[in-house]
Amino acid sequence: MNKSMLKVSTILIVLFIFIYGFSASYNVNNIDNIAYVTALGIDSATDDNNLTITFEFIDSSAFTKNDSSSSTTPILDTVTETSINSAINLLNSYVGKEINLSHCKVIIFSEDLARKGINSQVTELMNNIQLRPSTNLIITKSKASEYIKNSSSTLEKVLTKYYDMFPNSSEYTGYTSNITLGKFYNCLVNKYSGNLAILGGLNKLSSNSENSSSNSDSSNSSSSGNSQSNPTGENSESDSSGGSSSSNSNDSNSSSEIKEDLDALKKENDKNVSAKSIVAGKSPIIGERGTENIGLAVFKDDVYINDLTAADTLCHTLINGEVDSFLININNPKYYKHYLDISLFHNISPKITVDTSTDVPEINLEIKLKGRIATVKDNLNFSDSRKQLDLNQVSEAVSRYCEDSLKDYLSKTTNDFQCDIDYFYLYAKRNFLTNEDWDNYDWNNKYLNASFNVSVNANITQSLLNSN
Amino acid sequence: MEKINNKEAISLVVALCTNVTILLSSQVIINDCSSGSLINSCLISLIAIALTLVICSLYRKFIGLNILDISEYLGGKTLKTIIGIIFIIYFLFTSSILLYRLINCLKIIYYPITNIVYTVLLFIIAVGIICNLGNNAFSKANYIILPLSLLTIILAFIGNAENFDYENVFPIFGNSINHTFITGISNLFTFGGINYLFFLPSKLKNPNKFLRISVLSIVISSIVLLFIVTTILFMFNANLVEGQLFPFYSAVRYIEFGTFFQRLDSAFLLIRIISFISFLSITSNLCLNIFKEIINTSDEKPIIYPFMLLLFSCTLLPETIKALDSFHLQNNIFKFLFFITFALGMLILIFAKFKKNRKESSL
Repeated sequence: MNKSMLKVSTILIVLFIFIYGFSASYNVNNIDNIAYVTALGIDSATDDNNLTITFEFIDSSAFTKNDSSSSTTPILDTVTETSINSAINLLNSYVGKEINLSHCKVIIFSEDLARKGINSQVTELMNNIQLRPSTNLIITKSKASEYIKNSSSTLEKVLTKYYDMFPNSSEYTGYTSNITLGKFYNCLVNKYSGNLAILGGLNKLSSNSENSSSNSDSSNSSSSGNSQSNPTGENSESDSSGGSSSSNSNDSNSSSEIKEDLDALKKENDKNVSAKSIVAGKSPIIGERGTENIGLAVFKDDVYINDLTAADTLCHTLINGEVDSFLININNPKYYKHYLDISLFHNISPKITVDTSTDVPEINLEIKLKGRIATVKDNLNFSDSRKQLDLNQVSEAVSRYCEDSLKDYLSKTTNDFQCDIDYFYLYAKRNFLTNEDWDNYDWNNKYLNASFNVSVNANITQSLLNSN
Repeated sequence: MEKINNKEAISLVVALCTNVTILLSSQVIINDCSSGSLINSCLISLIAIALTLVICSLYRKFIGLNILDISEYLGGKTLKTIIGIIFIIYFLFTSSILLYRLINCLKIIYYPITNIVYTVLLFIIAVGIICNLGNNAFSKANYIILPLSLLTIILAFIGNAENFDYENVFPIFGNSINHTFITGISNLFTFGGINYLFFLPSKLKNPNKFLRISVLSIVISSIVLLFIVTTILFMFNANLVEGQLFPFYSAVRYIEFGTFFQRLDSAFLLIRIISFISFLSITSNLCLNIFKEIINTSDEKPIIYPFMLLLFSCTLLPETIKALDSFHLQNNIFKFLFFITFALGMLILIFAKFKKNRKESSL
């Protein structure tokens, strides 16, 4: 009896010790005490040393047992602080709950900040154990806070799901890429390659933006303190800097001026329908969604230097085997006499070899594509006796078009960006036995003079439902 | 004492090697050899297999005996005690280094506010209970847990395959030929389980199968090592493999099977904790057995709690002596202890074999 009593009391004492010991961590990690951030926007503050950080929260209490897919209005809080951790610390006291980044899906840096270099911020984020390495990294042409405000999709009500899904389009368009924080950091610490991030921007023609502009106008005219979301970063800046008095004085003209601006923008964008010039913030899309992610932001070390357009991004994803299927349009008699839309499928990984036997690295790129004709203009008939011949010509035209596009893109990387953003260094390393030999080769400088042998072999079939 | 069967014996050695690899040696190998880590892993695996064959051939003369019995045969009670204490120090310190690393990782991830003492205590009490159960409960538990542990390693490899940069294996010889082939041999400490082989014959139900058990367990450990090093090397740039978290855990954080199966690192860590408790119970049980043999006692229960207290204190040493809280120092202590104990074990076996041969020839 005494022995069993001793056992029971020992167990109770041990239990008590552990309850006491772990209760502190339990309280910290308790879901009731945590506010989950879904997106983080980082802008440079007016004082160059500070950051303005926007936190987007989802009100988890809005999700009911029966309807977990209903949309909730995101809550936005903005803090200006010296670092991300300081901002989190300050906001903890404001929110009354502990900020947790474990459900953060995207991190958005503004273009202004990215041009100054984001090494310290990215390192700070990577050292945060709550943040997943699979979190997407976006560089926005507007302010990060504006991007977050406008970031919503009418087709996907749940914001977190939308954030999960938006990079998926890279697999079937090649116009963006699924760049994550982990991938970005890997490249950042790697001295041989450039770096890339998803390029985002506000859709200046979106109906949301138009509405919000008019709302903004009306709200400004009715109440001086209430600032609504604005269509563009520029507008928002003018609002914030101008204040209520200046906006009131411009009330009579502002609405018509904005409409005129938007009309001009529409006209300009109507001309801008080539993938070679489309980037986020300058696309010919009119829709409900206030933001768009097209193209990639190019970094040399940690500094944002340039953009990849939709067509450049397609070349990048094609070289790296990231895109499964995509569509190109050939509208140049140099390649083919008629306008064609071709759906291409990239089933085999590209074959890349790098010859480093001389001081000018020779990069050989071989890509095999299969495809089908998606659109034919000019009433072409492929079902006649010349069908086979014509398809060969189309295949040849597609191959030459892709080769030229890839060559243009690659020469851009050596001449304009001056860094290896397609990770050719990985293939060059094969030719060296030790890291010392590889370091001595000085890839970063040699890459600038690299010569490219691009070979694209496209096999096009007709497969039109209606051949005439 | 209840003897263990062949499968249990293999799982004991594999568990010892796997835990050392995940928590410490994979990071050391990649830091030392960079892109040459795979070649280095293959090299040390081959050396480990060769050394295992040597140990087995030396044990042919001493079937069913452990290194303590052989030391007693060679140098009497004094040598037996010295060897016993050296092996206890090896298993005690290596276990506490690994436990400290795991606890630190848990503190960063889950228990930021909890005092490290409580987390260590949780492990120590679990191991104390297993040791108290006796009847080789530890080997039976390990036999159940090990497949789960190996499954997580294979899943981590498969799950991360889409994130692999296969070109990270180049330049093939890494930092230098010297680093990969000569100084890299010191990474043999990954196979900490080899030292357990010195005690295995006396625990086996069928000591005649010692050769088969030993070679099979080292081969499985080599495959596990290759899986772990490959996963880390293909995932990260070699200069990224530093920091407080063990790199295999960092690699597991990247695994996502679609949008539904995400954050598998929590499950991985849970299995790692259970697997590590199993590892601690194996080493603790061995230390208790050695101690029991040195002091000639039949019941080990009275020494369980003092030993647990010793393990608890050793684990908390880096908390008080901050110099010990250094990855490089911990790694050097581990290597030093491994090579000292291994060399001693081998020397005793060699000299004992000479002695026996001489005796047999004189007869």
